[in-house]
Amino acid sequence: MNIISQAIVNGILLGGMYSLIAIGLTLIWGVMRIINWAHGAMVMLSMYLAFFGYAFFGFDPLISLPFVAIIMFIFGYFLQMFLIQPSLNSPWISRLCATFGLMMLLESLALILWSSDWKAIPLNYGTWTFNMGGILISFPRFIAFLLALLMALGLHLFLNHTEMGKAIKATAQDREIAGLMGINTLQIYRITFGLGLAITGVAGASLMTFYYVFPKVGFPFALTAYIVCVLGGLGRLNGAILGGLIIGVAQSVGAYLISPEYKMVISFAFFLAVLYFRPGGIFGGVTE
Amino acid sequence: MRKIKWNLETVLFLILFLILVILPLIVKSPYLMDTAITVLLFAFLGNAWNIVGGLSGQASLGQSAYYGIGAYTSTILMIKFGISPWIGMLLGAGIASCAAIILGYPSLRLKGPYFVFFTIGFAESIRVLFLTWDWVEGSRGIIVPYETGLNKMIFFGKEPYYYIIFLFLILGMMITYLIRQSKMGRYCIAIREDDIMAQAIGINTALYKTYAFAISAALMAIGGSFYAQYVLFIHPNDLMSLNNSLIFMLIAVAGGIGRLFGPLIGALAIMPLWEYFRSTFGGRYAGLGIVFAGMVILLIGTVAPYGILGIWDVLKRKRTKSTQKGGQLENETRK
Repeated sequence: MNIISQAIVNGILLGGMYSLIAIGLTLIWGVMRIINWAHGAMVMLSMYLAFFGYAFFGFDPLISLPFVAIIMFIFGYFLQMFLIQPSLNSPWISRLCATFGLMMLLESLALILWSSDWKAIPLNYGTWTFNMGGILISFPRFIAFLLALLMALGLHLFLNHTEMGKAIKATAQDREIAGLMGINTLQIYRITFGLGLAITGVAGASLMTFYYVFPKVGFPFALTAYIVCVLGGLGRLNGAILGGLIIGVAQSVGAYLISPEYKMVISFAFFLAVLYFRPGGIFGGVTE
Repeated sequence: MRKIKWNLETVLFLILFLILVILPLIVKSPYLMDTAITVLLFAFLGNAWNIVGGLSGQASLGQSAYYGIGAYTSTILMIKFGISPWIGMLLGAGIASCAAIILGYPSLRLKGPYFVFFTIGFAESIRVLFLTWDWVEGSRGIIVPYETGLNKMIFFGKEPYYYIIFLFLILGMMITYLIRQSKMGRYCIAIREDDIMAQAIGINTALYKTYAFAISAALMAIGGSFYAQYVLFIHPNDLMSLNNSLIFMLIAVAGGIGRLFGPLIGALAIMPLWEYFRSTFGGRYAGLGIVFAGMVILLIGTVAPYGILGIWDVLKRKRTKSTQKGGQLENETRK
């Protein structure tokens, strides 16, 4: 019983991480109606940025976190300008190619530049745990979980209570009308993409506190994030949070009950079940 | 039979065909032969992808699962039951198409990104299942014992492999051609252009999508069996990775999506350089091939969505200044 509750707590903490990765994805989908298939590569990139922040400047990942977010924002802004925007006129299979190509490119460039060695940051709080009623909670994972909630709250406030956020929401609802209202929708797209990647940057940097980085680290995370997005309904923030928690718990408990290797199969089964019974995600949402 | 039109394209393809036929007589270097075999194998696999992705517009990224199923079926049958890979190949094709029918069915309702998620998740699950399945040696992979012979489909030289895969490629392309000429092909194209509209005019979209999946999966499995007999080592990560599915798509899209000769052109354009990078640079620089492929795939997404044959069409139209119909997909109404 105790192990099960430990697995559930671990799953919730893991789910926070998944949510954080999924939020960036779901934001980009919600506004631009494109899936960033290179999302895993973005996670990998921000993890490497956090790692280099430590390797060159001795920064703790949590200190380099805002810098990583800013760098990822700028990267996303220009990526949208030079790569995603031109691909929007292509048929959808070719559009798929644009971001998948980016993924292959970034992953293999990372392999060439930084080799396939696993790199981790030795932190003195990396293995801290605190005991809560017999359940051990890992400190860095808890921090990452808190960050996920904080980012979701921040994004929610930003989207609903600032001019820019409202412009983003307007563009998401109807791009043409938003354009007629004087919103520079192309600019909004760039900012949205940048914002999505900045959140991914936060995810990557906080992931670096307890995880190791190698060129292909991102894809399993991204695959889970896609499933989380579908579970919560693509384009929904609260859905991404709840979906992340559900998948996290399912994976953690499933890994305990069946076998850790079947993590992916378990999330895939969840994905199938959701698509069968609620194709719009648990909250309902856009199905397209 | 239609009369053959003697235009530039026909002549070019005839020349290409002749070169491919006599290539093993000219080229003696095993390395170049290996590259040629890889080109033809991937053209064959790209062609199989094209039936699902190009013709029916279902951008499946799980096709590598069927590739792996084919390789595993023929190899297991040979090693454990002593059945010739020629028969195993056909059985593998059957099993793969059954899997495609059963597992393709739930995906029929899905569209766009949901469909792509589904296919990726499916292939990843199959890969994990094979990795953890002890009876098929799991993550150790299977080494096919080297015993040459026609019934074992293992040969000393590379020429037999070359002609086998060349024959397969021609057969595969003929299947694509026949599908395109048939009622099914027209239906598939209608589904690609507009799913709902196709349904509205009375096409059983689920049935024809399933057909396309089954045929593509069978061809993939045959390609997988060939790979197993050629490389003599199979491993779930080599066969069923997402990278493989991406390369199948890349080859079909690079040549010209939905076009009969697209996969061959795509494979000819990409695989030689890919193989060159892979064999010339060892270790981590082997990734240069993927960098190159990624760049191509990226450019196709942004600059040339209709691939090499699409560029060819544009050039031809500029030269003849005619207003004739261009690429297959250019009439597409989707944004």
